[in-house]
Amino acid sequence: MVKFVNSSFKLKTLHHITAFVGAYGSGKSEVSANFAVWLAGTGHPVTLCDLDMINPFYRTADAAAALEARGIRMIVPQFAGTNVDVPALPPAVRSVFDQPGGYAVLDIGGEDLGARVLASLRPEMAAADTAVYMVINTSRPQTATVEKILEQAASLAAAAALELDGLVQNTNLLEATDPDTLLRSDPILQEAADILGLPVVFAAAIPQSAPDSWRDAARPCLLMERFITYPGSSLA
Amino acid sequence: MNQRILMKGNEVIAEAAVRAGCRHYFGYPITPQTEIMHYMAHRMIEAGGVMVQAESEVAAINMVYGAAAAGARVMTSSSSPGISLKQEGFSYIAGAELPAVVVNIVRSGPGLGGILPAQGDYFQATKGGGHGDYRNIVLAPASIQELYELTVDAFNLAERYRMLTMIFGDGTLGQMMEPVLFREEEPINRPDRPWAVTGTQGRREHNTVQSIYIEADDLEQVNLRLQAKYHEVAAQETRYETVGCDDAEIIVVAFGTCSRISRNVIRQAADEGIKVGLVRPITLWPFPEHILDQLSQKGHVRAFLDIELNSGQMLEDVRLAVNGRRPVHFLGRMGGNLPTQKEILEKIREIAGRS
Repeated sequence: MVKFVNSSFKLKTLHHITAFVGAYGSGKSEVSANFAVWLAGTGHPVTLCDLDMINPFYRTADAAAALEARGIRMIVPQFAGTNVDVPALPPAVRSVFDQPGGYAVLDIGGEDLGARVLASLRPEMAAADTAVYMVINTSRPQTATVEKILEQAASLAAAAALELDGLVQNTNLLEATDPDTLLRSDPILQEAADILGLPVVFAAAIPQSAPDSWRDAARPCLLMERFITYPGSSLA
Repeated sequence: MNQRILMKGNEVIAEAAVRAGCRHYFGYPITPQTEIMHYMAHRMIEAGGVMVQAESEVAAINMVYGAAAAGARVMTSSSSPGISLKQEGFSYIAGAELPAVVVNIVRSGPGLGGILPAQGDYFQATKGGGHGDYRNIVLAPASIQELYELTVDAFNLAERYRMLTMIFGDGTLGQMMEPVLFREEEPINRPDRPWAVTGTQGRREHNTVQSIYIEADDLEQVNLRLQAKYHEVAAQETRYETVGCDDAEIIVVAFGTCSRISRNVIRQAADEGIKVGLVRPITLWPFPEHILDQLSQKGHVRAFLDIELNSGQMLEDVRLAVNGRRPVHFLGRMGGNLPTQKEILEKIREIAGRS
């Protein structure tokens, strides 16, 4: 079951629209899907938008059926998961900006190229109650060091034409994730957060790899299910 | 100590090439392999190398020909329709005996087809593709770690035999991520290249790199020499992996993505009391016919099952190797679809007479 432990991530701190940005392979799609599932579990109407204009496959659209079964409204690009590469925004994305009472999660494509999608929604984003969180996996070469995280954060914010509101700790090596990898990552992420003046809003991990200290920390920890898998992976 | 990092297949190919000493990359973007080029764009600057986005695939492969002729470690990458465009260049590279590495992250065809994974370029990769009597070494990785290791090997093999060496992946392998552990130092074996066109500096006779021979007898001699080389490669460089073949009643033959899916099914079949083994060709050319020939003569082996993302291309090589001694069944998916574990298990039950 997808849940937050430490329960300090309260609905009152939640924004109407939460957008997840990050480097390629930071886990934006898995975090977005799980965040949406958690939100749906709180009884609120939730829309999840796959706004990845970069990746041809392995994206939230792949898990549309499973997520819809959890009561999530999915907005996906018309040709996502098909045999053509048409990076066009789904028009329905505009609808999430005029839905009082509902929540929306935006899964944005990787790096500055992917984050440009947010710039095209800037007037709507500026008028709405939004949060833009950068998902970070320090096991990915693009965000392996403090310096690289800062560089990536600057290029994401510039491309999105929006300020970042927080970081999400999502370090992982997929099935090979071990608690030590996650613990080694924390000081890197925290130092970057301190320099950026941003909070680490939550951590995310699959339950088997979440270190005990993450479960007891003041920082909320989202225990995730895998929704996006690869052929031949032990979770496929 | 090195630590494992999480990388995408296409990124790993590019990183492996740079680690193997490749400093020249020429390409033209096409999904699902464009990340190779994207990665090279910044990595080659760091490494002091060159990445050129050529005006077409035809231009890119001829830039590869030129760099290879000058003795450089050089690579290009593309996906199926782009690889078709490069075939003339492959044949010229074979004719001139130049070392080069080519990556094909295969997508579904024919024609424009689609961007989803496939293995429909097996014939093209292993049987020629371009004109004339030539072979390419074709390596088929099945994991991100192996994409890294085989890409490094590809450069060594290409130079050892002065042959085009192809990494044959598919959209799944190019796009997926897995942990990878890089070595501190790569096993780089660079033979002398006295044939390279590097400028004589007035100290030697000039070299020529070409594939035209005026006299029929001369060209036949060149062809005979090429064939002798290909025989040596087949004898020395054939690679495969076997899993649980010692007492298997059914042998699955699958490479790349299909082998990943098949591996999980072997365990499920064992739970039902069906002994299934796997032969995974790592070199598609030279094809590991010897192991299939041997297994087809074992009493415990009742049948073979070939699984591919095409209509049955490697199937022909499997049948040639088995030579009619056992039935060879086939399961294939096309159009960008992958076989599910359930589909494979049902096929195995049917072959075993348990359905």
